[in-house]
Amino acid sequence: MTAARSKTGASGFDQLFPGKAEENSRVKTGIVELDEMLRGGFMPGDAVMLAGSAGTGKTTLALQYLVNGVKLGEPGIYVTFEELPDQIYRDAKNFGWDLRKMEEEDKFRVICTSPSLMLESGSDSLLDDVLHEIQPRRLVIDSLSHLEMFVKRDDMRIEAYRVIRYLKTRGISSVLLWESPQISGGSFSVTDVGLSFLVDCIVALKPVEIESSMRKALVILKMRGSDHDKRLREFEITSAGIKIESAFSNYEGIISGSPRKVASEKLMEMFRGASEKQKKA
Amino acid sequence: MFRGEQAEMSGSEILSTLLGSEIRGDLLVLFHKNPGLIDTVDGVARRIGRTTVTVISELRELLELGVLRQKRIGNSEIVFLDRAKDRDLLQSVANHLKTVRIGGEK
Amino acid sequence: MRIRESSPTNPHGDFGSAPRSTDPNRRFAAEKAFSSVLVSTVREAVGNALGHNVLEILTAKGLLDDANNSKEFDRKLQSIFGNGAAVLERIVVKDLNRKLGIPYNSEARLDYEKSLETAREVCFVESRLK
Repeated sequence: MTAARSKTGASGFDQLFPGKAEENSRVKTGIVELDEMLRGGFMPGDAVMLAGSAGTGKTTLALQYLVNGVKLGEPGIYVTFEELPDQIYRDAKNFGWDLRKMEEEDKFRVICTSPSLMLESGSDSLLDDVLHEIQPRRLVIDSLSHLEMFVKRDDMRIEAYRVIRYLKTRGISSVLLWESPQISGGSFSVTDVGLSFLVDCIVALKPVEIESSMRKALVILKMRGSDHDKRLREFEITSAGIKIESAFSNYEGIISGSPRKVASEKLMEMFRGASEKQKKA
Repeated sequence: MFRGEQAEMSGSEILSTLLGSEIRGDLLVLFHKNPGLIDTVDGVARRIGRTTVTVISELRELLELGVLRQKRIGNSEIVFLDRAKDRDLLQSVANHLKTVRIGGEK
Repeated sequence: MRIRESSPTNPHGDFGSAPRSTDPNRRFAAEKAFSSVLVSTVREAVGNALGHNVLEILTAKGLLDDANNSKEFDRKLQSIFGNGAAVLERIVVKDLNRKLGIPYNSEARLDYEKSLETAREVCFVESRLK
């Protein structure tokens, strides 16, 4: 007898204790604040798009997701089309992640290939051998944007769907990087080729200029089948990886690219300024 | 097509094959630094700054040895490192070198 | 520093005319820096070509003890690898040249001793310019 599944994927029994069971079935990123934003983690088997412009920390976040997965006993694969594995090993080492050691232990693989080979894979995929070898639970593709260079615009959605379906049918929770020049407005569309609708979750990273300094913002734009934190949170790239800070509660218009202090904060500043002047007088 | 199925080679024979030419040396370094590399022969040649014509015969030697493997994906033949075979071959080389005296060895 | 074109018989161009530093302290520091780069390059070359097990075995046997003495190092490599020594030396020189910004010509016959001397001089010139 199969128990009915709730919208969040939990069975009937699990619905009696929704928090615990659901939390256990989530795919944790291992970044505590991000997992809180995701109400426990990504949904198992979901295709997650990690979108942002160059230098926003997509690769770091994706690697951290895989490394933390290995610590939780979930092998992972990092597929790169641009950087050679040697560069990835070096970058990861800067954060204290020894990817070569994880590879020796058969818990991790960095695969470097060309987008054209990825697209050529038919029934015999170039990932088949490595999937069979380490039985990954997690996989990152860096990046889906590279495929766009090798297909006609109209075919991009079909090719992306093929990749996503290949991973989903194997029960792999995937993170697909997308280089997005701008993420703005209230739209869920972060790509201009209609991929937002193919993925289950979209996490967007955005550089923001606030008071003449560049800061970084993270927001969950979409998460199928689950509640999630709707706020924009600041994050930074530390020597140990991504660290998520508090929400940008004093600012609005960050996603639109024109951040400004909220009215209440402006008033507070005016009061503070007036108070300072009075003290000096 | 080039999968190595041959009698057990000695450590010294393996070493001679691996270091048989500069191009083979370059290929070894490329795949050891990037063990997850999967590419066509053309792609591999480009990565080591050579032409396909100069690389193909050297690649065949490493395919015969088994350290590299070949597979068909769509319309392309790809090459990649056989990690397990590579480990075994290098272990044989290591075992051979343990017995070799270097001039001035302590 | 003018970098001259490489030729078929001299893969690295002619750096021999660069004036030597007369300050012994600076020369010593530069020598030490070059030695460090060379040893790490040799380690990487052997490790990347033949794996870290092989590197550890050869290190224990004293292969790297004379890495700075190109003649002695070449002799040791020949005794271990025979014709394969030349391949390893090329890997070392290629990588060393890349680190020091020296052009490398794979068509030219390799003279390991001369290649290291050229790299050493480039290192000294660079240190004088800093």
